[in-house]
Amino acid sequence: MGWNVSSSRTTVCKAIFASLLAVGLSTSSNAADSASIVGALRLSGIITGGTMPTNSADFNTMVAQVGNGDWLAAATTAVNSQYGANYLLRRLALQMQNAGYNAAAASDSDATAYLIAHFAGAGGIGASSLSKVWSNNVTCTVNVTRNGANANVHAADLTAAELNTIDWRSALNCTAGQQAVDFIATQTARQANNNAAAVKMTIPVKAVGGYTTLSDRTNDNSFAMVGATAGTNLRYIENLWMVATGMGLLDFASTEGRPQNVPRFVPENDPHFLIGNGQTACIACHAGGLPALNHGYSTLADLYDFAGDGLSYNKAPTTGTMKSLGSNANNRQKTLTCDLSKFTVCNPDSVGADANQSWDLASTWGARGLLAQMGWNGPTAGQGLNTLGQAIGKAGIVYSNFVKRVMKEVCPLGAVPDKDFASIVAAGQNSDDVKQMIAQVASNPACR
Amino acid sequence: MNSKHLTRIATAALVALLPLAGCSLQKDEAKAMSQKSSLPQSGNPADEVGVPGVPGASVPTSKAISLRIMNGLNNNAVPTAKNFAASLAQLGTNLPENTNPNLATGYDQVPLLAYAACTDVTPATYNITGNSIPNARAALIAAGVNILDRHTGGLASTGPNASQVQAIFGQLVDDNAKISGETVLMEWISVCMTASTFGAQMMGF
Repeated sequence: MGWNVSSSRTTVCKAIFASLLAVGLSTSSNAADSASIVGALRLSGIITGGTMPTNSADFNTMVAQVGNGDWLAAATTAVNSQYGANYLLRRLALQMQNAGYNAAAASDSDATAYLIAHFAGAGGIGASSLSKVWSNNVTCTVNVTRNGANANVHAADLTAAELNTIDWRSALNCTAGQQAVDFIATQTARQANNNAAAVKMTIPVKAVGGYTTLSDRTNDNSFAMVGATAGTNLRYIENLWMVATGMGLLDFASTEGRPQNVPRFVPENDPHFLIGNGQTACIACHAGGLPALNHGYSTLADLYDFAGDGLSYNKAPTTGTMKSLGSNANNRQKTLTCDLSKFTVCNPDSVGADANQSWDLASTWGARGLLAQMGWNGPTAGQGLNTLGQAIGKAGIVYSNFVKRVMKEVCPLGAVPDKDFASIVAAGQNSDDVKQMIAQVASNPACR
Repeated sequence: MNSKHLTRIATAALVALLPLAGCSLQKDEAKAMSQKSSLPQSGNPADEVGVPGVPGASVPTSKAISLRIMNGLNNNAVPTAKNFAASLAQLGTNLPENTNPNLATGYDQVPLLAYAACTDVTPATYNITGNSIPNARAALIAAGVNILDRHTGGLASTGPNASQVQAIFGQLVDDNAKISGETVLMEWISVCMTASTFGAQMMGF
């Protein structure tokens, strides 16, 4: 057609709405209605991305609620709506797949469907819950209608059109149990037939990490894929803590760790192992921080991998498969033996990943006060990823971090007073209700 | 259609309204806005905190932008079909993915997306027919108001200044008509792009 696309239309557009906004806030006879509409538009914009049609029943309800001065009710209407689930709850779920909270780097997957179900209180999991997302032993699929028939599909199989119109509140279907590729059974099958399909298994409850152990395919950009691909699975446990708490790696570092709790593949004879000399000492993180054997690493180090078949679970790890002995399978026996006269990239004092998947936080983080700082109120020791996930889910910092994340989403430049922030966090921890936290943030005068 | 006309329209028609826009949000807004927001020592805009008394502002991300355009056009164009889909695929991650207005980039792509969506819509859907711009003028204006209404909950047509909204679209149509070779179809695209781009880019709302 040949016409120029320029910013001048944008200028016209913004100026048009400036006039409408002025109308909305003027003292004309229609001011109350207009102001209510503007208020509802604002809440809809920040909670549903403005995707809620303005001729929908929900929007009309919000207008009435704002008109009555009940901003919290209007925000609640928005977050409870189909559009709130499809926009903000989904964004929050996508962000939790990586430590950078980068939604664009994630994809719809079993992990995101699980999170949306828990945020929305959908799919039969009960009420909205933040605390359960690291431990609830369910898998969530999606009901859609295709060619006139009902189909139950994984979220990664949703078409673009379905993703735009889906009502997660009614479409989600969560059933008990989680699955992964059975590493050993698959290896056995392929010894007989190279082309044998991957064998699936039910993950033992003890090793279930909520959304962090959900993945049904390769390249799903899930938390499990990000954490368990190659390497040593240190990324897996580090991301779990960082995504849940919002804290950084160095925030967890402690010089009170013992060499025994440093993974065996960390070279003890490295000059920086004990003393940093201008950098953080290795032991501060590897024994005192997130990568320590007893701060959760043992719960997943040798059990999970993410490779050509996707997420796999190893029921009986052997020396050659143990990622806690390093990323290079060819060196794992040498690392286990750790004869420093022959092989020096190892820690002979390490007790190794615990076969019972034990975790113990108090010995280093209790004395430092880090547990108190995190508002820890659950057990400080246990066995298995599932009990660790349950304990993490209840920590106070998880709620304050979530509220901060919501604030960054719905009012990035707002200045919510500290007392309001504390109140929202406290209420959230008391109710465990994700939608309530979102509605309280969005309706705060600093955000709305 | 000439972009210069649009710039003159924006400046001339709406300067009188701008002093009324937003100034009553907060009694102390003027004072608050005169304060600089607290830039963090980190220098990272992501760490910037807001100004007390001034409401926060979030901006729509790519998913919201495409669905807003779809809603504004009453599903007559959808992001999964035709030019709208093709444009979305080509723009890809160029569209905003961050709700922080200091960090979001890609809003310059929104008019392109709106343009693509508008080309998927048959003007007759909005009773815009024939080849005569004067004959189609009323329908063109009504179409722009209709789309804007869907973005603003009806404020474009029901607010006390609805006549001014009409006048702005009328000015747009009239100025475009002065361009040699302008057609009714071009007028429709212009009106549609204007309203859709605005609705998709509404920030803080």
